[in-house]
Order: sequence, then C-alpha cells, then structure tokens
Amino acid sequence: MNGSALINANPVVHERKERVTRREVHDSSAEPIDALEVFDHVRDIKDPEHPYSLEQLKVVTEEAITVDDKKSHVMVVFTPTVQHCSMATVIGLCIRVQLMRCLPPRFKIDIKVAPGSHASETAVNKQLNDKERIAAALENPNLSELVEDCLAPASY
Amino acid sequence: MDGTPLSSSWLVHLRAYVNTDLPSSHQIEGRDAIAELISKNALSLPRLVSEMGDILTSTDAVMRARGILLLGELWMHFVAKPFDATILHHFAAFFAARLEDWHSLHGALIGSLALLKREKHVGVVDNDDAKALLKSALENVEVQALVQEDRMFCLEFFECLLVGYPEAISSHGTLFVERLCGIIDGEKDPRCLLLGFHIVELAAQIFPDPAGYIGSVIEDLFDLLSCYFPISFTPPPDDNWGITREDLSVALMHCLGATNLFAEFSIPFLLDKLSSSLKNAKLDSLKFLGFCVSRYGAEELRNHSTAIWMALKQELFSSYKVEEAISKERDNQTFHEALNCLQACLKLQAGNKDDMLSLERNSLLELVVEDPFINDFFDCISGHLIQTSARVTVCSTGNGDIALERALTTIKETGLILTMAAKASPASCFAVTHRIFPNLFNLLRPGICIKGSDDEKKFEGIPVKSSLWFPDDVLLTVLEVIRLIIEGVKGLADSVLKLQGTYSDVKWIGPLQLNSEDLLMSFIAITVSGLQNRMDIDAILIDRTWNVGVAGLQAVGSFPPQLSILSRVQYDYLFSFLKYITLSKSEATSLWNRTVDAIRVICTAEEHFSCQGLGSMFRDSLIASLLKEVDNYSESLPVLCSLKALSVLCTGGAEILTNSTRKLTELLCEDLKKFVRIASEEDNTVKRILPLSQGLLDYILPCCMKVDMDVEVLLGLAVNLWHIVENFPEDGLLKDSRDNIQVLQNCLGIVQICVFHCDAPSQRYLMLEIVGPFVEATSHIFGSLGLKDIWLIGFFSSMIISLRPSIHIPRAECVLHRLCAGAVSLSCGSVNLIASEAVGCLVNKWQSNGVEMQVSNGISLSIAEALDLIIKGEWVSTALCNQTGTACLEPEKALVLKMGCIKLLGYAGKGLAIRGHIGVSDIAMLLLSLVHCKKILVDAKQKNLLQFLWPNDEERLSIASAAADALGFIAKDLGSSGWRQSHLVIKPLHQQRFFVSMLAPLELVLKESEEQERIILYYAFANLISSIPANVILMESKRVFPFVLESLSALSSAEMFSTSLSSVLLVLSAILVDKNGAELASRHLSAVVGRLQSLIQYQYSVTVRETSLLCLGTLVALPYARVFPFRTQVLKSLTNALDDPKRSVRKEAVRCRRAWELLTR
Amino acid sequence: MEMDVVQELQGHSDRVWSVAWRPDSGISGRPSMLASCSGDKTVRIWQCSSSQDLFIQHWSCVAVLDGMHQRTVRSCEWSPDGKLLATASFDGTTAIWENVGGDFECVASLEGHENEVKSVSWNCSGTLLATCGRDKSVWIWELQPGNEFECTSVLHGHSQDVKMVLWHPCEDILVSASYDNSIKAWIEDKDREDWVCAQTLSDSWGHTSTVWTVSFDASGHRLVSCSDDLSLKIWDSHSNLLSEGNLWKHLCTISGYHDRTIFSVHWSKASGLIATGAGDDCIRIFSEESNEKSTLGGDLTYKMVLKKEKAHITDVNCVRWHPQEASLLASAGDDGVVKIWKVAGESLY
Repeated sequence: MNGSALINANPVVHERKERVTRREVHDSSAEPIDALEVFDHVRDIKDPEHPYSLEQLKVVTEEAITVDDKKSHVMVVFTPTVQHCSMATVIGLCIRVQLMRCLPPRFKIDIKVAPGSHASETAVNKQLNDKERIAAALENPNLSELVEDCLAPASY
Repeated sequence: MDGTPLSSSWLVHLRAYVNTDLPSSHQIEGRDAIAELISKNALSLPRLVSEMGDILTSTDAVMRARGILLLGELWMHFVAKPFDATILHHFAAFFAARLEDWHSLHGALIGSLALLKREKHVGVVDNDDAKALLKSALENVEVQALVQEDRMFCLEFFECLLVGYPEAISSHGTLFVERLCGIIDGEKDPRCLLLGFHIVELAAQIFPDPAGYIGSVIEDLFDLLSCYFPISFTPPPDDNWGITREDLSVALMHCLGATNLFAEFSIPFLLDKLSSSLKNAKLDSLKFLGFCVSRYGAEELRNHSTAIWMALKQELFSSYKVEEAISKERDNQTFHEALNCLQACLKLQAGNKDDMLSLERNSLLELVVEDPFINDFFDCISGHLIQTSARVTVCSTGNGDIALERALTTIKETGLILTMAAKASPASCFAVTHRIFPNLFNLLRPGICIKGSDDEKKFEGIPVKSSLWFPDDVLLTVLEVIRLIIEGVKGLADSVLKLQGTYSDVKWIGPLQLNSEDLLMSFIAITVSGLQNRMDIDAILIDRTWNVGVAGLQAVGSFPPQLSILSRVQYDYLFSFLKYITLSKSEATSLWNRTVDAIRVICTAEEHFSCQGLGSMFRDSLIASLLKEVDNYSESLPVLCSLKALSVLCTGGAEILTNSTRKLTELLCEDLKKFVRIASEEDNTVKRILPLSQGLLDYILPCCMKVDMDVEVLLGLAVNLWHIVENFPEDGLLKDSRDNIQVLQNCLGIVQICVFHCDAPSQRYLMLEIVGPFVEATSHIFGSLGLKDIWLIGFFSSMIISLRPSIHIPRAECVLHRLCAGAVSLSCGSVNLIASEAVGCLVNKWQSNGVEMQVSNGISLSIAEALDLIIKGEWVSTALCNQTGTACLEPEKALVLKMGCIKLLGYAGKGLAIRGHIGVSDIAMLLLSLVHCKKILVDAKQKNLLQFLWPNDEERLSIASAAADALGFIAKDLGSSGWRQSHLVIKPLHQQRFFVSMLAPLELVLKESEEQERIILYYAFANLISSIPANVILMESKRVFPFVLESLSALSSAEMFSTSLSSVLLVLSAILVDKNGAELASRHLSAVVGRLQSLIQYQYSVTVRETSLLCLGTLVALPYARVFPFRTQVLKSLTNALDDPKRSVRKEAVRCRRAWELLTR
Repeated sequence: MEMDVVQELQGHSDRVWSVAWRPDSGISGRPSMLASCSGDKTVRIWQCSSSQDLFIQHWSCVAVLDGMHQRTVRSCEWSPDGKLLATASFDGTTAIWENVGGDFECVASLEGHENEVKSVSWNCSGTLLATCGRDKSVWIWELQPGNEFECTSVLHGHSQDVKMVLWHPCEDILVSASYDNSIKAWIEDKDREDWVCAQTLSDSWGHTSTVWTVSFDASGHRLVSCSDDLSLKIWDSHSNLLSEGNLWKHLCTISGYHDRTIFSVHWSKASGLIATGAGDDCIRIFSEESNEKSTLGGDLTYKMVLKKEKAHITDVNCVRWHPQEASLLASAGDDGVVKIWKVAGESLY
C-alpha cells in the first residue's frame, strides 16, 4: 500500500483447501450455521498487502473458528503472518466487516489474534472488539476503501 | 490521363501524409485517400511519383523517408492489385536503389517486401528484379542494427525470396548465408526468431549439397542454432501475437531436421543434452532426436545407433535402475517420450527381406533385441515361476513384497518397450517376436497347463483340467504384455497391408505364426481360469483375467486374413471356444459381453480387406445356433442374452439382420397364438414371449437404424401380429395380469417401430389391410370391451402413430371416432394414452398433403370437420356405452373418464399446435374455460363436450388443474413432452404461435375472474410459460410481464403451486437479464421488489427462495437512480434471508446483499 | 418487577448510539421530549403526545436534525434549561442546536478535536460544556452571550481515547471515562485558573478494561461506572467534596450479571434505580439492598431486580431514565430502534 515497504515481503503461501461441496438436503430439516460456513465467508478475503487470500496465508483456518448457532455466537481466531504485523488490525477489521455482512444480526462476533502470534496481542484484541472504534474506522475513507479492496470477491 | 483539377485535391492528402507535425490519424487519412484514388484508377502510380519528385529527392531526410514510406505502404496496400510488368520493374529498381539510403530504409523495405509478396496472376517482379533487390538488401542492410519491426520485414523479405526466387538467392548464396548467420545470431524477439528458423529450414532444403552454400557454414550455423536449445520462453502477459514456447521449439526442431548435414553435430549434441537434469531439456531432446533421426534417414541412424540406444536405455530404465526407485513415482512423461523416440528410430529399420534372421551388425534393432535387458526380463519371470511353481498360487495384489513389485515393474516396462519395438516396422517386429516368443512360452507352458491330448481341447474339459490353476499377478502381467505386443503387431499388419496391398510379404509375421498355438492356448486358458467360481479370488482379479484373455483372443483372431497368424484348425478351435462361452449359460456377464463383442470384431475384421474368410462363416453358424437356442427355448441361455448377442452380430450386415428378424418374427407369432390360449401360468409361453418381445424391441429392431433392413420383413412382422390379434378368440383366456400387460406393451412397441420404418407403399398397403377389420371389430358397444378389443385398439393406434403424413386412411371419420372413444373408454385403461397419441398424430398429419381423407361413403372429410368431430364429442357417448351424461356412472369413474377426455384434448390440441393449425385454439379455449370454470370463450359446437366435462363441486379443482396441465402439454416442445417422433408434420416456431395466441384469452378471463379463481388461472399460465423456451417469452416480455408479477403473488398462496412458482421465477430471472425486460422491470420496480421480498420468505420451497434472491440480486444492474431508493428496504429484508434455515439460501442471500451493499460505491 | 415496551420508535436507518431526555420533560405540563443520535448521521427528536396520562401515550418524531454532521453522531445532551442541544460527532465537531418553537437550527459548531468526538456534557448551570474524543483530550468550553463558545481548557491525562465526559449534577466537577480503563475527576484550580485532574480512579479497585459510561445519582454523592470488564462499580464521595484530595472511594463492584460488554449505565434521579444496557441484548435493573447497615455506610450491596432478555435484537447501546417519571425508561440499540419502556414494581416507590 502507498509505496511503503511490505511488512512481510515474502510470506509462506499454502495450498487452497478444496471447496467442500455438501450434498443438498432437500427436506425441511434446518442446516445450522457452522464453522465451515463461516470459514467460507472469510477464506477468500485478500490479504491487505499480498496478492493472496487469508486462507493461502493460513491466517484463517476452519479449525480456528468456533460457532454456536443456538447461542448466536462466533469466535474467529486468526494468525498474522508475522509477529509485529501492523496489518493485523486491518485483517481483523476485514474479517469483522465481512461477518457483519454475511451473518444474521443476532450473532455476536468475537475476533482475536492467536495467542502468542502477535507482539501486542492484547492491544490488538481490545481494539478489534471495541465497536465504537470499528464504527469510526469504517467511516474513515482510506481505511474503508482498503477494507473493500480486501473483501472484493475475485469472482464478482 | 488524370486531370489537374483533382491533383490539387490529392496533393493536400500527400502533404498531410508527409507532414510529421500532424497527428498520425491525419497522415493515415491522407494515405488512405490517395490509395482510394489509385484503386479507382483516378490516379496512377507513375503520376504520383512524378508529382512527389521533390519530396522523394528532398534533402530533408524525414520528408524523404515519409515519401518513400508512402510508396511502400501503398504497394503493401495494393499487393493484390494487378500492375503491368514495366511498373513493377521500375519500382523494383526504385526500391532497390532506396535500400541504400538508410533514412528511407523502412519504407524501402516495406516496398520491396510488398513487391515480392505479389501473386502470379496480378503480376510479379521477374528474377532479375528479385536479384537486384536481394543484392541491394544484402549489401546495404545491416539486419541486426535494425529495430524489431524492420528486422521482421527483412526476414519476411528473405523468406519470400527463398520461396519464390530460389535461383535469385543462389546467385548471391555466399553473401546471403553470411547474412543469415548474422540474423540468427543472438536474435531475441520471438517473432523474428520464428521467421529466422523457418528461413534456415528453407535454405537448408534448397542447398542440400554438403559443399554448397549451407554445407560450407553448417557447423557455424549449427552452433548459432544450438544456443537456443532447449527453447526457454514464457510469453509476456500482454502478449498479442500468441507465440508459445511450443511454436518456437517446433520451428527449431524442423530447422535442425531440415538437412542431414546437421546430423553429425545435432545427434551428439542432443544425446548430450539428454543427460541434462532439466526436465524440459530431456523431453525436448527426446522429441528432437526422434524427429531429426527419422528425417536424416537410416544412414545417419546407423552411424549413431549405439550412442542413441545407450542414451535411450538410460531414460527407459532409469525408473527401476535405482534401488528405491519403485517407491518414488516414475517420470512417465520422459519414459513415453523415450519410447516414441525409440519407435521413430526403429521405423527406419528396413531389415533384410530374404533372411530376416541376420540382423545388420550394430543396427539399432540388433542392439535392442540383443540387449541384456531382455534377459533380465526372462530371468525375473522364470525366477518368479520357479519360486511359485511349487505351490498353487492365488496372487494377492499389493502385498508389500518388494521383489514382486520390482518384478512387475520390470515386466511392464520391458513389455512396453518390446511392444513399441514390435510395432515399429516389419523388420523390428520379426526381430522382436522371433527373439522373445519361443523362450517366453518355454517358460510359461508349464505354468499354463493346457497343452495336452486332443480330447482335452474340449472346453467343457478345460475348467476341470485347469480348475486348480489360477494365474498369479506376474503371470497375468506377462500375458497382458503379450496381448499388448499382439495388438501392436496387428495394427502394424493392417497398415502394412494398406500400403502394400494383398501381395505383401508375410515372412515377418512368421514368428507369431510359429507360436500361434501357444498364444491361443494361453489366452483361452486364462479366460477359462476366471470361469471357475472360487471364493478365494476377488472379482476384480477375475475380471482382469477375462479382460486379458478375451482381448488377447480378439487380437489374435482379427489379423487380416492375408497375414493371419492362425491356422484353419486354430481358427475353428478359437471360434468353437468363443461359441462355447457365448452359448454357455453365464452369469459372468462382463465376460459374456466381451466375448460377443470380440466375435463381432473378429468377424468384421476380414471385411476391411475384401476377402471372404472363416469369420463370416463362423458368425452365420453362431447366429443360427443362437436362433435355435431361442427356438427350442433351452434354459441354458436366457432368451434376452441370445437376442442381445444376435443384435451385436447383426450389425455385420442387412442380410443377416433381415434373416434373423424373419426367424424371430415366426417365433413371436407362434407364441402370440398360443399366448391367448394359456390355461395355466406354468406354461412356458409367457416365459418366452416376454423376453422375446422385449429383446426384439430393445436389441433387434433398433438395429434398423444402423443397417437398413428389408421393409418386407418389418411389414410382415406388423401384419402378421395384427392378424393374430384380429383372430384372437372372443373367449380368449387372456388375463389382465402384469406379465400380459407387459407383453402387450412390448408388442405395441414392436409394431410401432416396424411401421415407422416401413416405406409409404407398404404403409398404404397396411392401412388397406387393417382399417376395415378394425372398424368392424370395434363396431359393437364400447362399454363392454373385451381384452381382445383392447389389443386391437392398441395395435391400431400404434400403427396410426407411425404413419407417414402422405398416407390415406380409409373411413377416417370412423377411425377417428373409435380412437377417441378408445382413448377415454374406461375398459381400455392400458391403451388409453396410446389411443390419445394416435388421435394426436391423426389430426397432425390429417390432410397435410392437401389430399382429403376418405370417409366411408366416399365423401372426404376436411381437417376442420375432423376437428368438429372431436369437439362435438359424440364419441364420448360411445365410450359411455350410449348413455348420455355421466349420471349413470359412480362419481370416481366419471372423474376418470373426464380426465381421460382432457388428456385426449391435450394430445389433439398438440397435434394441431405442432403443425401450426389454428384449430388448436378451439381446444385451447375449451380447456381454458374448464380451468376458469366459466363458459365464456366457447361456442355452440363445444357445448355438448363442455356439458359432459363440466365439473361438480368436488371435481372442480382436479378438473381445472388437469385442464391447466393439458394446456401446458400443448405448449411443451416435442422432446420434453414424451411424444415419440413419428413422421410428425412440424411447423417451425409452433410453440411461439400457440403461446402468443393464448395471451389475449388469458388477459380476458383474468379480467373476468374473482380473486381466488385467478390462482388456478395463473397456475395454467405458469404451465404455459414453463413449457416455452426463454427466447420466445422474451420476445413477448412486454405482455408477459404483468402476468409474471401477478402469478408470483397469486401462486405463493398455497404449497401445491411451489413448483409452478419457481418456474415463473426462472422466467422472471430470464426477463431481468434481457435488455427490454430490464426496462420493464425498472418501470415496475417497486412491484418487482415487493414480490421478491415476500418470496424470499416463502416457506414451502428452497428453490423458490434461492431463485427470488437471485432475481433480487440481478436488479442492481438496473439504472442506479431507479434502484438506489430501494437499497435500505432490500438490505433490511435480506437480514432475515441471512438467517434462513437452508445453507444454500443463505449463500445466495449473502451474494444478493453484497450486490446491494455495493450500490453506494 | 417487570417492564414492557410502550412504543418502538422506528426511523433511524443505522444503529442508534445514544438518547437523551429533555430535562424539563413532564414538568408543569411540558410534553416529554427525547433526542436520539445515530450512525445514520442524524439526530431525531421524539415527542410524546400527552405528558399527563402516561398510559395512553403516543410518541412521534417531530424533527430530524441532519445535514450538519458528516459522520456518526455519537452522543447528544440537552442544556439544563432544555433550550440547547449539543451533539458530538465522529466528524470531529460538536454542534449546538437551538430549539425555537419546535424548530431546531444549528447555532454553533465547535471544532478543535483532532478526530472523533465521542461525548458531550453540560454543567449544572449550563455555562460550561465538556467534550472528549479519540485524541485522548478533554475540552472545556465556556458559553458566551450569543451562543459563542470559547475553549477555556484542553485537558490531557488519559493515555487512550476518552469515551465519556459527565458533569456533576450540582458542582463543577467533571468526570471522564476512558479506553485506558481509568476514570478521572477534574476540578478547576482557582489559583492557576485552570482545570486539573483531582483524582484517577484506576487503583486496584478500578476497572480492568474500557470504561464506557458513568452516571451520578440524584445527589451526586455516588457515581456508577460500567465497563468492558463486565462489571459495574459504585463510587462514593465524602461529605465535603472539594476540600479533600480524594473525591471518590470505591464502594462496591457489581459483577457476575453481565455476559458481554456493558455499554451503558444510568442512575434514575426519580427512583434511584440503576439500569444497564449491554452487548448481550439485555436491559438490567439494579436496586440498592435496602438494609439499615447500608445507610451507616457499611458494606452496601446492590441486587439485580430485573433482567429483560432480548430487549433489542442486538446490542443495547444506551439506557436513560425519564427525569421525572420514575417508571419510564428509554433505550437505544444497534437495530436502529429506540424503545420506550414502562417499568412496574414496588421498588419504584
């Protein structure tokens, strides 16, 4: 972004996990929202500073997502590519925004960086879960533009 | 001569062109304007040049350059315009001179190239001009110094010369070749390189002489070229010439293969590169090697054969040379490339015709067949056999036994190599087969314990004899290898024969002939070994044995007769074995299918070589015995199997098919006669007639498509069956059991196909034969129909269905009447539909040829009248055994009857609709008023029928929806309507016509109707619209749109309409993406949005929810100003969809939401 | 004790951040009036058709204040006399609206904060205005004649952005709550003629995460604060406020009730009940354990007397008691809805 050097110039890129195609159940039985579904929402988010998806960078994994449809709660734990990734908050922001758009409003969303995966872990977590700050951030043109870029699906 | 007045005008253009201050667009306009004048002959080139004098000679280099360029481009523009020799000559000289002026070079090059590009018929420059141009170019142009574009022109220039003026080139050979080297040297641009390679290729072919121009510099040239190998080039992302690495590589390959002068350098070079660790280098050098060697010829090969073989071996065996190599998966690509290379080389091996045994010393062939690797092959086989011979082996695949794995790999690979070698050329085939087969079988024979005294050749004996024996994995693999080789050689034999004709030399096949007995026996034995049902062997393995066995036999047996490897005796043996398998009751169907197919292949093999062999004789005998099987209905082979086998063999020819069908006809008739008299279920007749009729229908008759069978037979079959049915005893004991109905259905199918394939005359004859009896037989009251009558109606209907349009039907009125009655008559349950279809066909073809249908009393009946006959519906009372009205019937029967009528009307209507006859509207209106349950739209003549069909309150819904379905059926396209294609009269766009004709009435009745009545009307609409192709609807979108919107809300009321709902939604989605449709939508946007918003909550159907979300999503494509106001509301409504119980819906919702989200940005 | 919705006020197209009753609501027949501010960049004024009979009330939107703020309006507060409304916005400005005969016009725009302004508050006399924001600073403005506002002081001290400022109901003491987990009390140093931090409530008794809201009881002796650490804290002050260095001491902590962040707490002037709104969509009401000890300043306890599940379908951002009418409560949520509640139960009287 704007010419400044990358925080992590050459990240490790992992294989995309192939899309699980679930068999369509054509009865009226409900299909509760689960980790995989949430993962499908966030896996293709583009990393703010690499041309790769969060999945390819193993920033998000299905395993690191916990969902409780009954309690309407989602917890996403993500792992920044490097210890002092200044982009961590942006990534978290992207994840939150995406989930706010994709999940029904009843859901409470918690987003955290994986323990020990970031230098200022607590600070980042606190910021990511302060709704006021999120709201403010999204009204900041540069930031929201950056977020939109990351969220723009390749397949649109 | 062109007059001065215009000169002024074109001088403007001229100045525009040479004026470099102007934007290039002006310059181009200027040029084109001049070109225009010239092509209109309003201006001549000489005149132009003379006018340009001051420009062309100007001291201003730029000005001069522009001038020349103009001329150059003009010539390029007129490459196809005839000019006389003098002008061409002048300009050739002109450009040749200009090539000296490096300022003007660009234009001069284009000009010269343009001159050389010309075709003969429009006049070309002569040799001397070409020479002049070449000379000047060679002396003045420093190609490498030029920019890419000019280099291109230069190369093309040389290319043209090489193609068109070789002697011009040779006149300046030395200098040219010198330049050529210069050009190739370090060229980086792919386009130029491509041309460069081609030029070298051309030049090399023009100067083949070792002492010639190319020969003299060959080594330098090769050094220059070899730098490019292996080509490494990845097209740039913005590449717009589409040149790939492949193209360059191929070009280089052809270049190196162009002359064997290269051989002494290229072959060692490539062999050296072969040892490279780069995969690309490896693959390319193998490709190049194969190609070049086959171009250079046997001579060159001889000089390098040892080196080549050594190198190839490296590649071929690398996979198991290394210890742990088996574990790491092999590099198949290289392996196969190496194989191809080997084959390419071996193709050159001519071999010594008279004495094939004596192989030329150190020829590649000798090296191959004498190579120790073959011994390894034998060793590992014999080694394995020894260690296993002791015990009876049942091989267990995939046990971790490394040794075994090793053995298998060795065998497979060697097998592939030997196969490649064997099928390369007769000589190599001889060498290989002679080398390996005797030893091989010496090893195998004890394993395959089959060769024995003659009495053991009885196959019944074999399973017993070899019951203990089952091939283990190694043995199987070996046999697979043998099969591969045989198949390879067979392919070779075919092609050899095609080349040399019948008088081909057959020595080379000798070794195979010598070993034919063993080949035959091994394949038979292995096939048989799979037959013993042994629990301890898994099915896959058994299947493998059959695969190898039968495929092997097929290969052995299908050699062209001239090169046959089997003796007469062996053929008989083979055949009787195959026959044994075919006829033996075998639950092993995969074996059975393979065998039958093998027989077909073997029998047809000889036909390709126009020579009567044993095959056809055998086939005939087999067919005979199959028929016999069916005839005396022996339990041993299921009738269906026999018929299937027959059908396979019958593809051999019309005659065979005809004969066997004739025979089968007899049998069928025979059975049918007995059939009606069956007293007890024990009787075999049912047991046979069921599969017999089935088989005829499913296997035999379909062959008519492939081979045109004698219509006599078909007609005969139909007529005979008819007569039998006709003569059914009234008191026939025919019971209405499931079997019997099945038999009936089969027979009807048979009759239909037969008649369908009959030509017009025989169909006419048929009608004369049957109409009379039919009418007589069905004259009595319908109410009390016996099963005989059902058969009659069924048969008759099936025949009517298959008639060609041109066929007269005597007493048509009667026929129509009876068929209608039959279609609805309760006692005809199983043939109702067929009768309805017959009626449909009848009205469809009625009078279509302009000739009117004969009626009993000789007066003819027009289609309109025929239609009235249906509409008036007197036949109903016939069906009702003459009681008027349904009063006498118990309600459910009455309903069934009415439903029957509605179906019939559907068929009749469709018949008319397809031929595009307006009559359909009468029927449609009748149906519509049933849907609507109001008697508008119908006139007097329909009253009677309508009266009868009129529903009471209980029936209302079922009648209405049945009628709606019937309307849908009329609109459907033939394919999906389930109406068999039977010589129907089809008018293009008939669907569209009908659909459009329905819109107005629908609008009308909708206005008339109450809120809740509409629902069913919209259901009808949904039926119509879902049967019509989208493009048709789009043409009418303006009128359709309101309906669509309305039905969306109407149909959402009840669950039963959910499918209609989704089909309407699909239509909507189609409309929304259509241009005009989109306009409509944006005009009624709030309505659309409203409907969709409620539908995304529709609880009964997931598809409805998904589709409506889809539609909602597409709306954002509409004009922003219109859509945006809905944004907030839509997003709000979507939050519920995000929480849909179904995942698929949620996904769609997310997409949709995203689309609307983005509206702000 | 129970509570039911009197009316849902629909209109905002984005989350509602905060609501404010006009102080004189219901006094001498004046209709109750409520201001709500939202992420849709607007402020809405709601008025109750009848202030007399609270049983047949109807609320309607009487004004929409838009076009002024470029971003979310985070908080809004009425001046004590109810004539002015101050609104703080993420666009960095604080706007002052004057209510002239029902119409509201923007009479002043206070600029100075580097970025988001998050809270605004009037002092009891209505002469001073305080604002705070993400720039970690607290600003104090003085109201000059003619709706001129002059910044008299910019207070630094918080290490993170300041979530809320609130004036003492009867003294000129300012309290600020911050993302740095602390609460600070500011008083004017007469000698230095400037405002200084008199106390920082962040000791071992303090909150362990962001402090979102603070609220005084009627007397101003007690202060309640709510936090992201899922607890409420009651702070008590001694008799004479200004003399001593330490103004407040931790009285008690109310925890174990809330499951998610507590965004809002409000102490009813009328009934003394404490209401909270939290990220678990619930509204809770607490009342003081009525036993003698407490009056002796002994260990006093507060118990939850009501928990309203699903008060909103989303986070509850703000709860405010009616200044006069003890049974009325207003709440605002992420669902863009403002709700008027009627609370019934003996502890009201």
